[in-house]
Amino acid sequence: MRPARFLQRLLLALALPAACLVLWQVAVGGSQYSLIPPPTEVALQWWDMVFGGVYDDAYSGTMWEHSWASLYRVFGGFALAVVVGVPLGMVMGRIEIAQRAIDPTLQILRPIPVTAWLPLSLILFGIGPRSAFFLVFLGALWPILLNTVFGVRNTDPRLTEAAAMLGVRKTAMFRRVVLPAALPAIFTGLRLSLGIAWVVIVIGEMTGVRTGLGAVIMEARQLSRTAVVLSGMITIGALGFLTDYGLQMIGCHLLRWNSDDD
Amino acid sequence: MTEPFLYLKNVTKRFSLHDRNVTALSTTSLTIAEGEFVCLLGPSGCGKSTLLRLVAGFETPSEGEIFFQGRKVGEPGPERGMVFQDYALFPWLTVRQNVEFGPRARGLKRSDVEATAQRFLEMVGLEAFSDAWPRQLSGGMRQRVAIARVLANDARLVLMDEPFGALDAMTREHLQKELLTICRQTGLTALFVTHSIEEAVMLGSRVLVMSTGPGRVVSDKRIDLSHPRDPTSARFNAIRRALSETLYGAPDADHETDLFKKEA
Ligand SMILES: Nc1ncnc2c1ncn2[C@@H]1O[C@H](COP(=O)(O)OP(=O)(O)OP(=O)(O)O)[C@@H](O)[C@H]1O
Ligand SMILES: [Mg+2]
Repeated sequence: MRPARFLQRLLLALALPAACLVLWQVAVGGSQYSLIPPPTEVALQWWDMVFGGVYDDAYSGTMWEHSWASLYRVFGGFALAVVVGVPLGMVMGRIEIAQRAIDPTLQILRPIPVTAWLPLSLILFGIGPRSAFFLVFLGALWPILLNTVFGVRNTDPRLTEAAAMLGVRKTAMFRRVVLPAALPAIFTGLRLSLGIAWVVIVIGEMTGVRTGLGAVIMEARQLSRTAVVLSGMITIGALGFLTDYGLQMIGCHLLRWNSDDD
Repeated sequence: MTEPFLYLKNVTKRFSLHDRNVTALSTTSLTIAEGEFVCLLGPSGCGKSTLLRLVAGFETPSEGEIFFQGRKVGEPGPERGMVFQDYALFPWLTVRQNVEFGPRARGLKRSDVEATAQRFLEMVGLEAFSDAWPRQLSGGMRQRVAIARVLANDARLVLMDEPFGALDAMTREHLQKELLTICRQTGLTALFVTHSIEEAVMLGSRVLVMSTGPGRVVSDKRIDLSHPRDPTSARFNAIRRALSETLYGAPDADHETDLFKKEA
């Protein structure tokens, strides 16, 4: 029964993308001078960029390099956001004074889009990967931070009381009660942040880096290689999906006490 | 005279609510001896929970002092274990880990922690569920975990705030019996808040009745019936009627009456 159900789900999930592909093919397939290449051409281009052997031009077989570069920056910026956002969120969620002192500043900084930071980032960190890290970090920081604050704030006071009654000292309360209680919210923040990290990677790689999926998209755009642009987009989508899936698996394991199934 | 087990000396508790002072507990003095099973009855809002939370150390008295085994109560501590109405189990720990939580927090040896947890899991009959998550248990089972968690931590006094209020009659009766057995086995002292007169007479070696506006203790009765108590016996019913009169000022005609129904 289980494999059948899995197959059913898979078919259901694939129906919509398949329909989109058909529409796309029908829409652009007929005309000679379409600016958008048909899916078959994009598929061929993607294959060539991953494995080579089709066009053998400057883009052939380069997808791995660009993917690694982007993955590195996405996870670099994301990790930075975790390292800053989780502790800061815990302090802000737990200590009223810290919240009052820091929150207004953050609320002013938060609406500023990552794109707007680009020029300043180039001045501060120069052209290259450090700016990319910084921009991904900025984009990924907010969901982690806000969800951590929320999770810590919403820790059931009964649980801290129960722990105090059982002999947990104030200094250990954080690690033994507040952190595990806030973990579901923190994980929601992590997932949102990782998603945003992929969204801003293209902006992050407009900082003059030579490799990366964002960089290859921007470069191919100038050369009017739309199939390459689309191949880069598809790869970002696929990697975003896979990394989110991985994070979700880790989450499912860590938060198995909280899940509804099994 | 030896020092009392639990001693509340002129304890008052006020809360400020929208810049208004609410007296939750007006000056109360109370002595409880070791081994007593004290039931606390009273209408909603009369300060039963407040009294319990003061003894637990979650709240500090506005006036007066509380002494437990001769020492002034300040912070919450393992010797005064609270069993919450909503259980307050740690959802991220298994049943066993919940029971082990206290001994581990106090830094006991690993083998001791495990042995203690095992002993109390067996006592409440949950060793078969020791690896389950709290959310996988029924309400009555969760309540038993909460009791085991407090016992495993060497509590000398258990504070229970309507622990069986949310349970069905059959589970409640079963847990009442278990609790009495455990108390007798371990010489535990209990301060037990309930809405049900019947439950108070069933369990208590002493019943305190509180009244509202402001909250205070209005009656303090000893119950000398031997266990197991028969709720249909004449003496049981006489005590129940007397308590009901203290509470409502009128005889309790209805067999199943509890405070909620009377208020509605
Ligand atoms: N943290 C608080 N802040 C303000 N007022 C409070 C607080 N806790 C309790 N009170 C007030 O103290 C009074 C007594 O409350 P308490 O919870 O002790 O009643 P109770 O006897 O336990 O009632 P119930 O049977 O409904 O649980 C109430 O009037 C309540 O509004
Ligand atoms: Mg109450």
